[in-house]
Amino acid sequence: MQLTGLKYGRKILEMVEFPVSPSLTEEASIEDISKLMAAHGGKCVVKPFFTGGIGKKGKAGLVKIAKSVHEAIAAKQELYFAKHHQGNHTVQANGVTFEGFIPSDAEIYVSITSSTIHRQPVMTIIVEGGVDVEEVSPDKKKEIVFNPVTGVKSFHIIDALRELNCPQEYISPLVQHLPKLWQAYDTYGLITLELNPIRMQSKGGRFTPVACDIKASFDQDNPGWKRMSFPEEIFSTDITDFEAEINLLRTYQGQSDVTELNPEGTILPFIFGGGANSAATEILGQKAIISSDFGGNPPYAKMKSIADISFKHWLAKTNVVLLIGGKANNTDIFVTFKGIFDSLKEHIHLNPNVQVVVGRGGPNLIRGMVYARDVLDNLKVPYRFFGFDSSMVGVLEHALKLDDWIIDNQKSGRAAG
Amino acid sequence: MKENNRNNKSPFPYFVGAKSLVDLANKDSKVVVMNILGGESSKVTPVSHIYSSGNVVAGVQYGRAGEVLETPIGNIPVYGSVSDIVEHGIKFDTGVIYLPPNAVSHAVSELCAGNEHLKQIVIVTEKMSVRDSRYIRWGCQRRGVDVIGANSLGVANSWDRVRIGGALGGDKPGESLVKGSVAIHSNSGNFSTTISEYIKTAGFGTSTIVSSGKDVYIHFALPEFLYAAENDPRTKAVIVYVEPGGYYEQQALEWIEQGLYPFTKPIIAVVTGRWKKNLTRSVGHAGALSGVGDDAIAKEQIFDKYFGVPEYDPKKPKVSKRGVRVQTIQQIPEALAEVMKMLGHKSDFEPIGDLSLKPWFVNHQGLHFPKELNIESVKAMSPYDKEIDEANHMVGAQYLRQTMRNASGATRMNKKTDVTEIHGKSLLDLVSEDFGASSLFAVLRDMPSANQMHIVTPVLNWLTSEGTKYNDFAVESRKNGATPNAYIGACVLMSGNNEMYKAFQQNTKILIDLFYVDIGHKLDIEDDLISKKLVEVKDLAKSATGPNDQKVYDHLMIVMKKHSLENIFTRFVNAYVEKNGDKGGVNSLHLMVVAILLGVSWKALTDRRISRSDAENLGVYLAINGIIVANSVIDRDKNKFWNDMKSLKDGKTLDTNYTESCFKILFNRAPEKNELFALNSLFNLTITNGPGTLSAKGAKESVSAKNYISTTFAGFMMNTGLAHGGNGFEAIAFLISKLDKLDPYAKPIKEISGDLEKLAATVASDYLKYKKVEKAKGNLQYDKIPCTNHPVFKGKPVNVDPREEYVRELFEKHKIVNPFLEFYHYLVVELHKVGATDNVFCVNIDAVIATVSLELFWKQFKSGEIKEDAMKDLVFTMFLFGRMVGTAAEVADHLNRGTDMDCRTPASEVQFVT
Repeated sequence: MQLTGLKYGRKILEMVEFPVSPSLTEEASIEDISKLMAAHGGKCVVKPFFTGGIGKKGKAGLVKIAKSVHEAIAAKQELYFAKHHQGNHTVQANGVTFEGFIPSDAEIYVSITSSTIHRQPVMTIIVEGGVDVEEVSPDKKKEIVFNPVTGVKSFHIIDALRELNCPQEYISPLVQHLPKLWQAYDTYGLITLELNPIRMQSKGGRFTPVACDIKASFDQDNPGWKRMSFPEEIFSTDITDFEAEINLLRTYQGQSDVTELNPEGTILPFIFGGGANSAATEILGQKAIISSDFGGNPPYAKMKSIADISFKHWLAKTNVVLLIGGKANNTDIFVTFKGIFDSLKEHIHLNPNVQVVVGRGGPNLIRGMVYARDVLDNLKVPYRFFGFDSSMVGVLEHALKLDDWIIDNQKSGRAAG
Repeated sequence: MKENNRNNKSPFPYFVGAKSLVDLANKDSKVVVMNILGGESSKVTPVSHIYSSGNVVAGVQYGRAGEVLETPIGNIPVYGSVSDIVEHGIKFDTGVIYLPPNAVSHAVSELCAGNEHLKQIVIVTEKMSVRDSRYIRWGCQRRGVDVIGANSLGVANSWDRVRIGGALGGDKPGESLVKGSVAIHSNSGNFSTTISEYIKTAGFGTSTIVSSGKDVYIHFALPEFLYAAENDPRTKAVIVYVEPGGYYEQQALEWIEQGLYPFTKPIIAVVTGRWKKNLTRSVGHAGALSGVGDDAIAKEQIFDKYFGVPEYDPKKPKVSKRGVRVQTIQQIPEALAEVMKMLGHKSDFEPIGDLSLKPWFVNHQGLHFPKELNIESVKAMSPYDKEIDEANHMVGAQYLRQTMRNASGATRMNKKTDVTEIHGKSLLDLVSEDFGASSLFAVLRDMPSANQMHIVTPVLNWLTSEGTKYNDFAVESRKNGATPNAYIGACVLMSGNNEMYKAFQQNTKILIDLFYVDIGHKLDIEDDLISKKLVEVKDLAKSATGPNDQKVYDHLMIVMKKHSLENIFTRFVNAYVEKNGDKGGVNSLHLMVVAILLGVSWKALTDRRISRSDAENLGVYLAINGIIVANSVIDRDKNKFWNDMKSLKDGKTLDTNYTESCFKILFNRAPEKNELFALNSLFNLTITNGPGTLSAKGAKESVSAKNYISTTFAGFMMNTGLAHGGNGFEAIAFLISKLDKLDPYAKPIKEISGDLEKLAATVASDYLKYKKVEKAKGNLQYDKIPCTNHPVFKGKPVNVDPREEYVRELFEKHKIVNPFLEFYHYLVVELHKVGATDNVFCVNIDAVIATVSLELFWKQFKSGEIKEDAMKDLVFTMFLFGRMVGTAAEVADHLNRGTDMDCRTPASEVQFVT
């Protein structure tokens, strides 16, 4: 769960009274934009608005500084549906923000993350804004590893800024405001908070650090982010309808994490366990419609609901329903299989030609397999169940070959199931 | 942060208590489990406790101090808090946490604060917040406590047979955790067990296994694991299963290179999750989301650099003394063997099994697969082969036990139609079915065929005849003013768990066991098999023989032959009886009834739509129905049919249609064709009103208290009373009062329609006056006209209860016109016309029940043959007949799915009122 930009990100900063550049949304009137520009030396910054996260790279190249309302409106037209690419991941903007231009001689980069190197929170400061943190040489950035109970302290920041040769006049205002970021981070369930850049606004000879852009990611398991009351649309691009339905079932008992990988895929995998999820999804590749981790001993009702949603969305286009996992430690195989196959009974009309492959081990294994066998025999669905003494990878490869064969038969018009 | 370093020689810039892997779990480990009685712990902890020879010294369950967690090797005491445990002088060094995520950090604090001996905490809980995790890190570092997890399955020591925390090795830890020389550190709990299984195929076992969890913070991560593995003399090699996210592996290998700690043992590493590179949120493990330089590819490169050889290629195996990275866990055994061979280490034992594809269950369903896909099933490894063999002997549906209070797998109210369904069949669809068949459908979920009913009907009637035995109790109870539910219920209760019931249950069980494996779904008669089974059969239950038994037996045989209804069970029983007679006390008739009912049940049973206990209990349900019907008679001395049924002088009595038998016993006369149809419909309509009704609840509560079936039926009856069919009876009283002067049967219905309409107008007008007076008095609780209006079917200009409409149309098709129901239809129109109602109310389904009942005894009532009190009893009894069938469905369902005492109301929901 990520958010980018000041449209909503400003709320995080305002909660802890961290100065933030005034901004307007795409709905602002020309009059409002004029006023904003007038208050900021006749300039404003126009940025595309992306819901959800846009990956590691910033919006560089997609930011316009407008010197007139005309330019601002032109920038709005250009950026409104701008696309942002990173790797093979593309997101499209849906709106813009107009932000007051903060003239400044200096830009600062600040982030707080949960470091897996130190296993403590870390504040990173660079006295150069708008940079890609990974590309800055180590001598130009300072990491402050601090105690999560006491939080980041002024002296930590003073020492870091001095080491980074930060201009003297900025040190006091930064020391005054930067500790507030920890307050936001710790209170609102953040995992990453990045202000890039912070510009130093001068007013009557005194400087104020003003956040001009923000990236934040939230911990799904920490309800702190709900206190921000963000509208749902912010994270909406993060999840598909299918994922949203499944995630409604998310409780602490039993994982229900799924991601929709390829809606055109032909294998519907029910994957059990985080490890199996990671390994199996890799092997199934593009054939997998979803990636899932349904381990954690889900109770019957939850497993049945998961299967109901999965079959409702995908069974019609599925060649192979695959149940795959290692030798479960705690997940009751009978309970999970009963949930899935009871659901299959109810949904089989969507695709009576489906086939089933199972690779699984764990408590109540035979009872689960026998139950599945009886259901599939009644439904006349072909199946092959492997125990945990067969290689999981081998089972996955078998499912892939079976799917290929079914597709070949479909192409040649022969019945393959 | 190195504030409390118990292990003074730890080379790390943070606290690490364990010097060797042995320190994490060993014979001396003493464990306390938080939330020990919770759902997951109560299943897992006993297995761990047994495997570890009793290492769990106590558990904490807030608010349940004094209880115990039972295990086969002794009870584990439960305390209210950690300090409670410490105050009782119990020492422990390890805490295991099974609490919900938001309670974990509190439990960690409690463990650290309350126990000076604490060395480590294993957190099993998943979905813990990063925030809580960093506070736990901070607190435990200060306190000097190692943490494993969160989202960990714990740690296991295969040498000492100790496992701590979650369910490493599953429910049979000894199977996977085999003593050996390989240590495993795995981000996946499941893979820690799976890899343990896999390496057995190369002849290697495990020393210590750590399921690290894969949250953002891994508290016992790879650096400290490798350090402890180096110091563990049992461990000769390490397997590492890694997912993207975090710099733990990079740090561990860099520190080795930098000499921070020595590490001389080989590593087999597997990194998965390349596909996660472009995710912006975690899927599966929370911490398996990469940033920069910690995605799967980066981690692969880090390991490859450390090993000095590329990814393992099975075709050209190349490994180094430092180990190798494999692509998939499947390659681990092979690569491990290569590395160990290079280092001159022998395997721990002879290889066990292999990882080739071995399907345990296959069915092609007639498809022809190409050779490479056509892998035939193989015998499963031991002990699973035996389990499969046992499972193949199992017959019938399997259910999960659950709380069945307010739940039913038999009946439900369809929210769209507002019509109750039983086994997915709407009561409206059930109306036209033979009521005798419905009484079997309630248990079997399959409706017996018309042909099968030729043999079922005499069985039902014979059971009614058997039920007459109890009638003296009913007569005595009636004298004392008992209501029908009480005097019939008394008879049912008296039947207890009698010999006949036991014979039905036990002998059904024996026949299933005797034949299922050989005949599967088929009931074809196989004489050779019957001969074989005649030799094998034993332990058939005994039950006393009655005077009519032989006659009934012969009758059943004739009927079966006539209608070709013999099957392998009936033929077997007949052969048994011919061979043994009643020798040994086995009642031939009871045995034949078992065979007949099992034949009727067989398809549902072998298709696994009903459970084995449903089939075994079917005879008991039907026998109880027999008692209910037999003892509903009002004046037995005058009721010829009842006496015929009791004596069975004429065997043809047994062939009476079941509804007709009910009619004759209730009304002491023969029904007309239309009356029979009406009564049959009425019974079927009242079978159930969903699982929430009082009658169903009474029976289910009795099941949950573990009563015999007869007592559960008494439970249903004790929960019914004069309020039942109350609206129906009110309606009858209402109709009698309004139609007092108009005999609706004096003329054909067409000729009295006008009279009925006029009467309805008068009644409507009178009602309006009454309503106005009562309202003027301020009485808003004035009497409503019964059986009109409905909370769902309302608000339109003209309203219709579709259930009533359906039955009315059905009756019309059978040329049945009920004048009372017609009157009701005139009345709702007139009520609106005069302004007594805002719109035309519907005539609801209760009106059908009331008007049909009234029609059946109207003439006898008018002639004085049936008095008003008897009429009330009759209405109530008819309701009981319908509901006894619904009760069988609920009791059978609850026996299959329910848990003991699951109908108890939680203390939190109970109120005290003053």
